[in-house]
Amino acid sequence: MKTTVSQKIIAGLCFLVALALVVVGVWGLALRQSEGTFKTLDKMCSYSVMSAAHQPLVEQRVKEASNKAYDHAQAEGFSRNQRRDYVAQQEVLAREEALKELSLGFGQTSPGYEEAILALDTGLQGYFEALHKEEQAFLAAKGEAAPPPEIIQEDAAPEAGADVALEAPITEDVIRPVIDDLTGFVPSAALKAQLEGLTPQADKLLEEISLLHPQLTTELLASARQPVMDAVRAKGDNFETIYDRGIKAGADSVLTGRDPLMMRMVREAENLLYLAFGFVVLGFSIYYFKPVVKRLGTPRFIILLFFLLLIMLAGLYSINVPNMITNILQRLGMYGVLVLAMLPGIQSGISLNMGMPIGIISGLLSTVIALEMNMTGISALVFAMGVGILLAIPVGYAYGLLLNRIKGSEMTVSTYVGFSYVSLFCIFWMLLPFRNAKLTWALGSGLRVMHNMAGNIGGLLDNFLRFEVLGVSVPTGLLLFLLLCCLIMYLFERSRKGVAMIAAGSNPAFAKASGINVDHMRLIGTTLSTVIASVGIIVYSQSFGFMSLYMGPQQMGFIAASAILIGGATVSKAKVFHVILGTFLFQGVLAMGIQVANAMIDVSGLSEVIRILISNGIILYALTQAGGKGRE
Amino acid sequence: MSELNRPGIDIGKHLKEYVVTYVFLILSVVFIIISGRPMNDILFQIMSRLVRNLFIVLSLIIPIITGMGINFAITIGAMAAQVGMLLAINWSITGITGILVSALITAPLAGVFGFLIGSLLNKMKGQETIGSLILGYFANGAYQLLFLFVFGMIIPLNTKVTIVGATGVRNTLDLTINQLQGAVDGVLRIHFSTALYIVSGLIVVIGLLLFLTRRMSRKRFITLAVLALASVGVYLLPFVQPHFANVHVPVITFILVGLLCLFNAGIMKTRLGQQFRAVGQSRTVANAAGINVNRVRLIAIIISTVFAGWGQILFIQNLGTLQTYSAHEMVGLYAGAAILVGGASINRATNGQAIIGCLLFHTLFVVAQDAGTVMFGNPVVGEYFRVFLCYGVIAVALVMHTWRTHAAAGKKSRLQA
Repeated sequence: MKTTVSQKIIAGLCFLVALALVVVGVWGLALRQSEGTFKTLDKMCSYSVMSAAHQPLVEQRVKEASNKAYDHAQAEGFSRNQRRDYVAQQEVLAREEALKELSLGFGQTSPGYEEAILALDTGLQGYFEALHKEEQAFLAAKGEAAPPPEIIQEDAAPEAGADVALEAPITEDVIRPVIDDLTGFVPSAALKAQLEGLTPQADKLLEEISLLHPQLTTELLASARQPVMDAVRAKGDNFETIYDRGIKAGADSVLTGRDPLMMRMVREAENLLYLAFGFVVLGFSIYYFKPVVKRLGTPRFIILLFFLLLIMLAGLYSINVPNMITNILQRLGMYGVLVLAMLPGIQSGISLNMGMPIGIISGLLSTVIALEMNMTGISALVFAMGVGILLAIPVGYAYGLLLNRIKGSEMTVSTYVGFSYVSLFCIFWMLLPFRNAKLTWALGSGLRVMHNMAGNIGGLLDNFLRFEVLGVSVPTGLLLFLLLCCLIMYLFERSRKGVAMIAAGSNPAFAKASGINVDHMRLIGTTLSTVIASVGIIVYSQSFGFMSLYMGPQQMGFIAASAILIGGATVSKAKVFHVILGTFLFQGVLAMGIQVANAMIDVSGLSEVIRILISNGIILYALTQAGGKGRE
Repeated sequence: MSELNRPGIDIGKHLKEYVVTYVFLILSVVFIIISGRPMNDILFQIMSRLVRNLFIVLSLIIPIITGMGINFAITIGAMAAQVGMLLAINWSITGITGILVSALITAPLAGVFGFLIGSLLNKMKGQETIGSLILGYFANGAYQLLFLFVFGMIIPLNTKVTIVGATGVRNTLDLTINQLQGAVDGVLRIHFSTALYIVSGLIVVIGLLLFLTRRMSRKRFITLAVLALASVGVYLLPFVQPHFANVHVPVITFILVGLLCLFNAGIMKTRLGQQFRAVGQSRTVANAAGINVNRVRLIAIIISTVFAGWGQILFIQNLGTLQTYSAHEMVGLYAGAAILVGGASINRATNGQAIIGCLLFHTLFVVAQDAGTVMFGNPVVGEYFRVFLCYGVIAVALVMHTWRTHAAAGKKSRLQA
């Protein structure tokens, strides 16, 4: 258990590195305000403006080269592939050459030019400030009525339709574009006029540029207008973006002496601080490696580290933190009740209730019935939950009777019983006599796969007493409901029945000897789990905004199981605390994983991969812990 | 099914054991009639599905005998095969050479994966079925990671297999370009009648030889010969023959399937095979007898994974397209359901059960959609019905297995008392 010397040394080194990073970072942040830095930045800015002004000229030359190369290829009789490669190659060469030649002039300035930039910059600054204000006002007005900022949902009906599609080609939905602005904000006419009003300043700047570089004709400059304005100042510009733009244009060539290094340091100041945080975490985790691993278990330790790593990465990639926290809170409430459904199952000794879809389907059925009757609002929610519970009790009881007859292989059997039930209900969704046109397929019969919750029960809990703190939008009702459910379970655990149930689950032989009817307790646990699952899916759907039938519920059991295991439960022991911690960690990792992955590489689909790996990895680990006792 | 021929067989017990098989048989017949599809077409479809799936189904047998349940982790073998095929396509290796190269790449890959699977399953004894299922899911995540982000970005591939302007491997790889489609099947195709005559003839001749050298009982020989001749006779009936007009048999593929059957049967006669069986019957007893239980289980899984990989190659070359991200997903489910339909259980399986199961399962698969259309006016219902059958069969088999084990344990404890 002792921390070894090498561990101490490595941890110490980590702390030293972190300290150094903090010092450099803070220094850099301080330098940001200094006069010298501003001057250098201005120099870089004027360089990138000039570079932007030359863009059309460069493009023109590339185009010429491209045409020439094409003609040459035609004359030589190249094949189509050869021609394409040749032209592309020539274009690259021409671009390099043009930039090399022209960039010599990018550093040129004149007092008039500097002034023109300054004038335009001031004007644009005013414009963007007004724009920002208007946008905020718009969002604030919208926030009252509509659900919170976009939650990028990757796990909508995971693997849904995979079975249905059978051998049909997979759709491209793995690779979907990321849309930045879903708010629907449009600037007002006054703002547009303000932007128009800046035209003289822009004209002046272009004129100054043409004085410096006569080879830039009016035509070329006209098409460079927008890039030039963007280079002066764009929406949401700060030190980092201006610096990055300069570097991209090659402005470091105008810097002299120590300037490039210093500017780089100033630019990375914040990132250095995040890195320092990372090193501190690393140091601690090395120093306390053994005790922590022993207390938390390897997988939870890894997930915790991963979580902290994601926090650091989120900082490095300048991700909107309040947005992220909103997202995590929302997911916590959304999945919490579903994860809670695992609890009575584990406690009563049926281990992970992989047959959870059985309960989920009861909840879905009752919701669909509510929608069929055109119910809306709180009455629909109460009706759906009430009927869902009523439906879940007999089904759960019957399912419990089955589980009592297959003691020892509950997990395996319940997985497949759950799968069968889901696919059986796929047939029922098609055949049940639902008539409401809002629910059924336009052509033919049967319920649709996805149902929009907006306008009926969508966001009812989420928006109850919703408030905003520091940009974090808290779904109060949702979290309160989760807490209420947890509280009920907590009280039940402490009731006579609950104590008996836990005893029956943790040590059946002993419980039997003390006069507890083990089978009866398992029935209670299974039924309870099924009932909670039916409520859980309703909470999930109203928060998610959509309800997915058919294969939708199939993977829910796995998601819930892995969440409670991450929280620290085992297949035979669990507490309410594990539910909340597990949901928070699992969903936190996912929510941040999505955003960080999107910021890191321009591919989505990664978060789904992360979910698959984490959720199945943790179940596998739990299985090895539980099944390890097996005799040879 | 050979038990039928033994004297004094308990019909009631037999029915009880093969109830799923008979239910499927009846369902198949009913569905064929309901679907109203021409017999010609159905038989053609069944034959092509058998070609595709038999090898994979047969790869499940050894782990079952070793007591490891249905190895749903054969999906991982299939993934290894897809890596092999991807590389073959990437290197533009065409035709049968391409298949051989992919098979050569698949073997070590699947072997290593099999070793890892086996090691993990050894840590969850008694939970292998669920363990291998979730392991398959987990590996699917790693596979997506590999194909979406590692290939193309870190390991360079040419534009034949990657998405231009994005990362990762294409969704669909067309095998016709490389002449990989049907590379094995197409080597030699004969009409069903020829194949039937040859097989029947072989059975009679080999049976006679074995009988004369006293390695086969007279009764068994006569049964086999009568069966072989009867099938030829039935085929020759004027109202049967035309239905087989479209059915062709890819010889090489079936020879490979036959070799695997022989392997499965042959290995049981070796020392290793006996160890498989011993471990499958009781790990405790096997351990006491000095068998290294973990090692035997490991070998069983490695063999199964490698064969499943090769099976997947046969599957894909027959299909002609490789759905890069989904071709492996259903492998375990379909194969597992098929073998259970044939009357295998969680700890008992034979070649015959695998073949009959595969035949029945895919017959139902072919006609379920049309039957659904006729019965409910909706093809999707039939589609869902067959998915339900897959899961349902496995669930029923698992429940029945547990009950049987409990019953046996109960009897034992009562005897001891």
